Amino acid sequence: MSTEDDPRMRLAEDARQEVARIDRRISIALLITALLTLAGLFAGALQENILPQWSLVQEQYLQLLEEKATDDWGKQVADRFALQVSQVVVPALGITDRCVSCHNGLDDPRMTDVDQPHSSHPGHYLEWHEASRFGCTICHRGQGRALTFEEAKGISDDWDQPLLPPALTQSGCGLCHSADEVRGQGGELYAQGRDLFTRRGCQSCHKLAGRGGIAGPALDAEGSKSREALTFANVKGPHTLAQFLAEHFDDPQGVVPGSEMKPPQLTLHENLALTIYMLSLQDRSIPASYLSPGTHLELAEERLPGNESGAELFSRYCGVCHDTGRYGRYDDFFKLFIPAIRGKGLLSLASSDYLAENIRRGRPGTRMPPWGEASGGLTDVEIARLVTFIRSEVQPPETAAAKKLMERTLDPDLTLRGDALRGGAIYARHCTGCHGEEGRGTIAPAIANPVFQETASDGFLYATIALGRPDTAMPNFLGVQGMGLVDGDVRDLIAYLRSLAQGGTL
Amino acid sequence: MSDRLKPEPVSRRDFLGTAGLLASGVALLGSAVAAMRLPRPRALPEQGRAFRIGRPEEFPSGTSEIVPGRNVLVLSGPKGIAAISLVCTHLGCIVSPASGGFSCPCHGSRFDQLGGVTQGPAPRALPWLAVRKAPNGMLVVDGSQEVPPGTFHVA
Repeated sequence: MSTEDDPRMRLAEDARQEVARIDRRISIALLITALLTLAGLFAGALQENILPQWSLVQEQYLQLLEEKATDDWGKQVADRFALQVSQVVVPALGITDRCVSCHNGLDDPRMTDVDQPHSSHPGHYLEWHEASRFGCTICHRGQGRALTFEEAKGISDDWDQPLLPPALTQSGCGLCHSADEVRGQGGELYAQGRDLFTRRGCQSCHKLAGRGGIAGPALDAEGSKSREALTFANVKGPHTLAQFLAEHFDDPQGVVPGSEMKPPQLTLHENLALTIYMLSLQDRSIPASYLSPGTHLELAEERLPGNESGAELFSRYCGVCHDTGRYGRYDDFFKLFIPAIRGKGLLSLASSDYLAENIRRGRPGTRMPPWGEASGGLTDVEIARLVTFIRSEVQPPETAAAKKLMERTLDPDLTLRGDALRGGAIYARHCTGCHGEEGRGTIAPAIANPVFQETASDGFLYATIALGRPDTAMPNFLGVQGMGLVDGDVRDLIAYLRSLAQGGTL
Repeated sequence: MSDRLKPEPVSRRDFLGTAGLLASGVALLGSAVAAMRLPRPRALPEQGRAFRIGRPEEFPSGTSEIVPGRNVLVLSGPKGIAAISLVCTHLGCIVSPASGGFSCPCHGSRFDQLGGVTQGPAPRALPWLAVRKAPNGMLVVDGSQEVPPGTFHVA
């Protein structure tokens, strides 16, 4: 009991107890952290070696192999099957696909009657497209390096190319094949999409490989667009590029408010086909050795005039606005009057050079873009084909007077003189209503347009005013059968019209 | 009562300390073993060493063919089909067919038609590789599996 009394001894005892307490706490902490680490290690080892999805799938597949092994060879195949991460690596395409770690039976014809993911690849696609040369994601997309199905689908926001639904995988055909090659060979939808694209005149507004109009965005990499490049606020289905495209075709303005795209009015089937075609337009570079002969030809035709006829070119590049081109029409969607470029009124007066030059240079300031090689991508040969097609149904002038006027329009040197001031007054009375003040154009074409002014001869202007444009709203202005102008009036009017060009208005 | 409890605190402290040390030792050891696996990944992003060469009927008896891009010669004879690696066993240059067999462009090694060394410095014959039939009927050469020279795959 003497220690109790000695304050120094008591202090030392307190200190010893304190140390022992701390010691015990450290021991407990050490034990807990060590046990936690052990548990983590154990869970990790289990997860890595025994429970990964691919490993469980491969064990099932091994059983299948053993069930299907009827002969020595089958038994050998089963014996050799090793549980491991298997993958397809294609350096030429930049592909590393581990899909085959679970889809083990892809090219085993015995596996047609088993469930996914063990079953054989449907169709004959793999007979021509060896997986080791093409990989899987080239057609199916998705995250090839992933080892679980959830991650492989790439549906989450951190993967740009989510797994395509089976119906859309035909978009892969277009990377190497031309549409004609795959038609009837398993690429029908892709081929139909391509046909729709050219027939519906998408290139009236959109450029593809440098050819097309300028009203819409170019589509060369449409199928590679990442999710960040799209606004999904108005997309009802899953937020994928394919869904965006499909809903956008049905209702362009609903998906992209303010879009100026004319709704293409597609059936369900056509929508699918066009979506597939859009998905095939990718900016990934495919080695030339992968491209089929048909694609080589198609690529060459992007630089050279192809063998498309004038009629095909017309529907591909002009159809959306000009429709058949036979009648001047008011387009409900664009809210515009569109001239009758195949109307007999125009064609009986306009020379081929006039038509070609107006196609080549377009009408600046209007919806009509320049189609020449530098801008719209059409070669002179193709423009000549278009002109031939546009003129194909032209009628010879009926009356002698009309014939005489016709001849004058073709004389480029003919110069008519008149009083521009007086012409201005006539213009204000007769023409402003449709052609707008100072020829700026409202519902009728802009006379002040520089390309029009340069390409239309005086004779052409005279004949147009005198004869009018049958099949359009433009009446004939000369003489008592028309609006009552006399020869002098028309000359004054032309002098006024020519003065508009100097104003520099579009 | 105090007698019964007396040894207890010391013993518990010892137990805790020993168990803690032991568990952390095991955990460290486990981590070290797991870490040793890191340099040996399950899969490397490189091309597989087994590759398809085609259907058996594409290799009629008496023909031989070099597989493009794979440095392997496929040999078809009356005994079956075999694959010979064209990588020189000396320093790994690619040998090319020459009169009577193969010759290496780097140091002049020569091999006979079945890959046997006829002239140094190559230390040993060109390796023969396993040929197998895949489930889809295609022949597969497995570059990772060497077989004794003279082993033919019988179709």
